[in-house]
Amino acid sequence: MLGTSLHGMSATNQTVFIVDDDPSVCRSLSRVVRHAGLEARTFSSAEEFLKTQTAPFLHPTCLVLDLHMPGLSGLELQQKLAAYSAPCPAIFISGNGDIPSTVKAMKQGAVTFLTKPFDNDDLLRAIVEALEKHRALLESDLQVRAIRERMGELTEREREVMSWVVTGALNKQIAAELGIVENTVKVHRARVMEKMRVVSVADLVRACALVGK
Amino acid sequence: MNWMTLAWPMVAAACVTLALINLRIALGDGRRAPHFFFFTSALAVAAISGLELTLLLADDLGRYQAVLRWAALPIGIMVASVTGFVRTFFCTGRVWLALTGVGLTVSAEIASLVGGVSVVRHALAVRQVETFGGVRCTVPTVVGGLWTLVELAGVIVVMAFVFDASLALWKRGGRRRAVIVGGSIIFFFLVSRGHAFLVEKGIVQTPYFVSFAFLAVLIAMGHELSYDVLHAARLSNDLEKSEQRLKLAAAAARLALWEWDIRKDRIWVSNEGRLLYGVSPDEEIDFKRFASTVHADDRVAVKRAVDEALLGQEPFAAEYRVVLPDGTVRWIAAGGRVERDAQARSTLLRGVSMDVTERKRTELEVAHQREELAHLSRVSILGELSGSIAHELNQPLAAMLSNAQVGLRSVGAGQPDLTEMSAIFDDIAADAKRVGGIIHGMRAMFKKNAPAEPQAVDVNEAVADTLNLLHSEIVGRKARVDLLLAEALPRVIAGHVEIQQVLINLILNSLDAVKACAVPARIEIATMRQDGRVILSVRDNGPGIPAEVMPRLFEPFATNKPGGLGLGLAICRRITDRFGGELSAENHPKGGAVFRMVLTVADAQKAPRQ
Repeated sequence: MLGTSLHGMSATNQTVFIVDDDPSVCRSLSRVVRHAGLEARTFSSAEEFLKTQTAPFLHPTCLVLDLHMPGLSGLELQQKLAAYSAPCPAIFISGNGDIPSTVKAMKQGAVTFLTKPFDNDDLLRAIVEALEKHRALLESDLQVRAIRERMGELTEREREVMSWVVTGALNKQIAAELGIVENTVKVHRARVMEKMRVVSVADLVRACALVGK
Repeated sequence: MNWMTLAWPMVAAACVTLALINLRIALGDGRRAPHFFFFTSALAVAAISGLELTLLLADDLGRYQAVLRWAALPIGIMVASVTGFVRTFFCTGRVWLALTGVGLTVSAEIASLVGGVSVVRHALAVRQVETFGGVRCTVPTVVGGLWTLVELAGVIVVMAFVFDASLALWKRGGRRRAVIVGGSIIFFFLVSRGHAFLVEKGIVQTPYFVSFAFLAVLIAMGHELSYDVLHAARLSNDLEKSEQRLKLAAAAARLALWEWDIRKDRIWVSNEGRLLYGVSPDEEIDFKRFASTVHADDRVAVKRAVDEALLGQEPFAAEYRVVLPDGTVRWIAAGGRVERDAQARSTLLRGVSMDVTERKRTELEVAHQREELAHLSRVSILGELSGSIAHELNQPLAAMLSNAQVGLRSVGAGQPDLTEMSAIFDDIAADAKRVGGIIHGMRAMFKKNAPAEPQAVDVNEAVADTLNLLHSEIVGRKARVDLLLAEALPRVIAGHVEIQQVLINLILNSLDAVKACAVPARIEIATMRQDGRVILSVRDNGPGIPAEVMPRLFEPFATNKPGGLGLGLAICRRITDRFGGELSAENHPKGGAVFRMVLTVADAQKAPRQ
């Protein structure tokens, strides 16, 4: 059921990266992922993954990551990925998960932690969740970038006016604070709304919240 | 009746008595020759004594000459016998000298005997003289001839022989005997000869005293001979005592004494031995009967041990079981020596046997306990490794489950891709085999086997199996294992599981040692062939073994790991010892510890490949 529902969703450009030092685990998991209509790529070590995946993720992706591997472990790979702009979420799999590593993985934002052997449905559910999470992440990342770009077009004064507008201050109050006339505030405000491509103050507030200003 | 008619017969009687005594001894066991020669010389002296008395009482020349002629016979026998006595009693002396002396003397005496008149001592006239105590006796006037010189030469050569033999005996340590026997022979021969010469030349007016002088020689010889007889008697007394002591000791130590006469195939066993082997006291025993008491499984080994002792130089030694008539089984330890004749043929196997049933039982118990301990240590290691072994098992199980579910779904969807299905089944089968292999390896480690007979083991295979078992542990500890395995390595005498056990211990020790170092662990496992043996070494990049720990490293309870019992290496060494191998440790000059296990290559004939 899950498989068919996945078939229904736009599966194009959704990639699942599988990193496990055990070749037979890699092969079986990639088979599971392909049967669910997703693209699977396997890596036998964290190092191999880092070597081939240097570009930032543009499409929804997720990682199925073995905890114990020779060389970099799953947790260390997850830490390294956190430095990326929109890091793909990780699903941890382990033949022998201990509590400290599980806690650490979850704290670092793992979607879930599966102990081998696990049910395919559990894995696929986690994959769907992870892809969804990454899609949202990518989307918000895209939005944030657009908003930042637009903000960059604002003049100093306009940015000043905007920071007052989002606090809910009236034009009159802004004029008093900035020591300019109310009409000038109105002009600046209209420019801000135009440059930020928003129609309401509520939208402007949301945009500012997204970029954290 | 006067002292003369009493003294000479007494001399003769004494000589006959001595002769008879020694004849008795000469007919018995032991060294007979000296006694025989003594017997003949004593008889000769008795005869001389009788003839001498006849001469002293003779009243006309014709009669005197007849007796004098007959005196040649005992004199010849006397000289020959004394020479023979010295040669056989001293066991030394030049034979050619003896033969020359005797030959010269005897031929002169024979010439006298057969010649009709005495050619050695020819009496020209006789005269009556008065000697001690107013007794009258007849003395001759004697002239010599060529034969007289021959006899004289013969006696001188014999004296030279006696002197030479005595000197040799002196040098060999028999000083007293050389002086008493050799000295008295030479002294009294010369005295009697000189005295006879003086009488014959009419210089002294006494009768012949030849037999008295010879009696003195006989007494000297008899003294030494009887000394030997007494010595032998004392020896036999001592022997009896020491035999009793030996019996007592053997009985106290529960030792069975036995002797196998190999030529007659007859075995003598002490009474303890008969009890030990369950043989009735009066039964005759040959080798076959002995073999029938030995446990059927040990017969071949016993026969081999006996054969080896008979053929080789090593003493006989064997441990075997005997089955008593009531079915009781007893362990016997036997040891002995082979006696050989001059041709180096074995004639006798003599030795002792002893009941070692108790000791054997203890040994078996100890071996059993050792195996128990080794097993416990294996089980506890597996316990420590349970997490990583579970991981190792879960890998293929996870793959199998995933593959099976994918396959099921494809079939359920009604559009199975047959190529893909067959790939799925292949993968499942391969993973199932892998799981089977791991479980098989674990089972072997868990299994409690009686002290396993050494087998022919492929060390490289054992290394590979061990690493399979430890894979997750090694990965989990972020360690790297480098393998330097020699190709075409011969099999060694060991146990597969036991090599794995030692290797697991060594690898885990290395991992623990490196943990303190805060660097990634690197372990190098190497196998190589050297001097007909196979070396398996494990080297780590840890801090090495502290010098103060080194001497006690393989002792039990000598741990420097918190929480460790310290039995691991002790057990490893014991395991290695059991296969005739060596386990040693040292610090590598470039850092880290190296453990070396040296194993003996299995002989192709003795240990079949399996």
